[in-house]
Amino acid sequence: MRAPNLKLPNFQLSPILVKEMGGRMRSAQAYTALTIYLAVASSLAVLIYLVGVSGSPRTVGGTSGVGQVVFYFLVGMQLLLVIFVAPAFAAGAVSFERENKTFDVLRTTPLTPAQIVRAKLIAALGFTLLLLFATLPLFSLAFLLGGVEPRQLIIALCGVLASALLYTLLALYLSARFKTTVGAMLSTYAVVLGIVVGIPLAALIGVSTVDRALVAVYSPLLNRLLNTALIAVISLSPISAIAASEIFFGTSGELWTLTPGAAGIGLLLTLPSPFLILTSVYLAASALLYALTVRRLARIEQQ
Amino acid sequence: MVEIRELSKSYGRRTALDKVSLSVSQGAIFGLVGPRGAGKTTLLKILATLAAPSAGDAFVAGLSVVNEPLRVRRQVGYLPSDFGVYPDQTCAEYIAFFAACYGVPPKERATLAADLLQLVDLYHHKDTPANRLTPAMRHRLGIARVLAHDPRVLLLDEPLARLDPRARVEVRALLQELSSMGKTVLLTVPNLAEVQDLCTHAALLQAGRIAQTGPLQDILAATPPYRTIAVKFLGDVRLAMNLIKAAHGVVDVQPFPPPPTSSDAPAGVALLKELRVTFDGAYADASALLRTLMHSGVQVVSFAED
Repeated sequence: MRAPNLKLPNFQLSPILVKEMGGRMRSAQAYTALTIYLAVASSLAVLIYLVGVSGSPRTVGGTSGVGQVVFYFLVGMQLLLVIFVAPAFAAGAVSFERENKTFDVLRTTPLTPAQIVRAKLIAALGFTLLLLFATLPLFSLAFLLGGVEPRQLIIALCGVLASALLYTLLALYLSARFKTTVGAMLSTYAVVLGIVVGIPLAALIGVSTVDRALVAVYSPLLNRLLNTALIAVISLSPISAIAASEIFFGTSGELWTLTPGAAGIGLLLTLPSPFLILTSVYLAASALLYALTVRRLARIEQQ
Repeated sequence: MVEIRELSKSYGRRTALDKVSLSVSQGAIFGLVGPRGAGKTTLLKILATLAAPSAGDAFVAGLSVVNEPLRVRRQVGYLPSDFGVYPDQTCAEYIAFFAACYGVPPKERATLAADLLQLVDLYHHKDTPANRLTPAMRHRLGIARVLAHDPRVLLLDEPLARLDPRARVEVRALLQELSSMGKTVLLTVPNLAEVQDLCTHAALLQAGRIAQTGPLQDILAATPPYRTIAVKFLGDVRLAMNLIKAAHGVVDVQPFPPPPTSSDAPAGVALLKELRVTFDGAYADASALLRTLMHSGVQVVSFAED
């Protein structure tokens, strides 16, 4: 038996990344998922186009409404993918190793917790990104029909990509915390749905309750502050953040900022556009979750 | 090669290791002998840097497991008593993956995997998915895996457990071959009888402490080898344990597997219980123990040396 040469080359792909990506792409499931996703997205987009075009006037710009519907449908598909599919790729990343009794052996290798987390993250996120980017050519249909600006795609892509990163890291963190993959998966979906649906819903209920309570002492300033707070809170959900950004962009043409109640009197509060708030908050939360996941794996090592 | 100094490990209030000191020289096959709960696995996990000691330190090839865990990992190969494999990898890929984790260059991995699979007599299974191997073959694959980075010290937790007699002979021969190649082997076993023709040195662990250590011949001369008696019965576990503990020649007694909770048992069905008795008495003492159990109302179903 020859003694192996243990000198590390300058650049080497993480063996975990190679294993995870290879294992995923080797299976028929990966191609089935990609095919089904693209087939559903493209058929529905074409269906919307056919139905929309048949009822639209045959003039320049007459199909712009159809273009917008196709665009929002595709963004919605991407958001659904990020909310429901992306966490599933990462929720078993660590817990499955534990269930499969491979984790202890992996921990005896010189790979650091940060290297393990990074490789698992890239592997899980990689496939989500593949699915997301595979649908990008479909957006050309929306641009062809008109009514959509390339800047609107920036809003959608920022929101979708930041959400993909955060929800994958959330699943990875909970996978490191939970002993079973089922536990990690269920808790991830609970938190993600809480963020996506729960936060905007709670904000709307909260604001309308406060609004009603303050009806007797109505003040434009208070009303504007409430609206600003509402926009800040709904910016934490990708669906409401992207929708609000697109609406504000459509009405004011402002991509980066918005001013609630700009037409009113008194103090004007200018906020970053909701998609910018979402992207920056999600990036910060992702960095925090990454650090917590690495710490969690390192802590396991001390037990 | 391995130096353990005043090593202690506690899990809450339970002390798993209590100021253990040991020294293992290069090329030795060192047996850590003791009943379940004696601290053998904890000791191996600390040496493999999977657990941090509560006090003391251990050195592998001069490297501290406390201060230089990443460098220690390059010197040791750890085989847990129960380990899994990745379902999407063949045997050759499994070895190559761990070789990659240790930084073996890509060009060398295929040859290394082939060499190691040849060494453990699994070369003809190189393209077989690792999860389709029999337990004995998987164990041999595990041994090949720990050799992937050419470690100087092998830490093997119960390497002979769950193996059929033929596989035991093969693994023993393999460990002796590795020792002759200069590898230091630390392995855990429940009793001395299992390793008297394998180990060069041994340490007897009891309740987290070293009861005796040195060359195996010296230990064998001073201590009759422990035997493990498996007692299967119906009835009260506490009564049976108390009777066994009080009997002559009993070193330790442990439930095996841990007693199930009452909710696991269908109503009205008596559960078969099992106790593992570490025994160093004569056969007459074993016979007397069996009589005591039967006369005290314990319904013994089987009483056999494991």
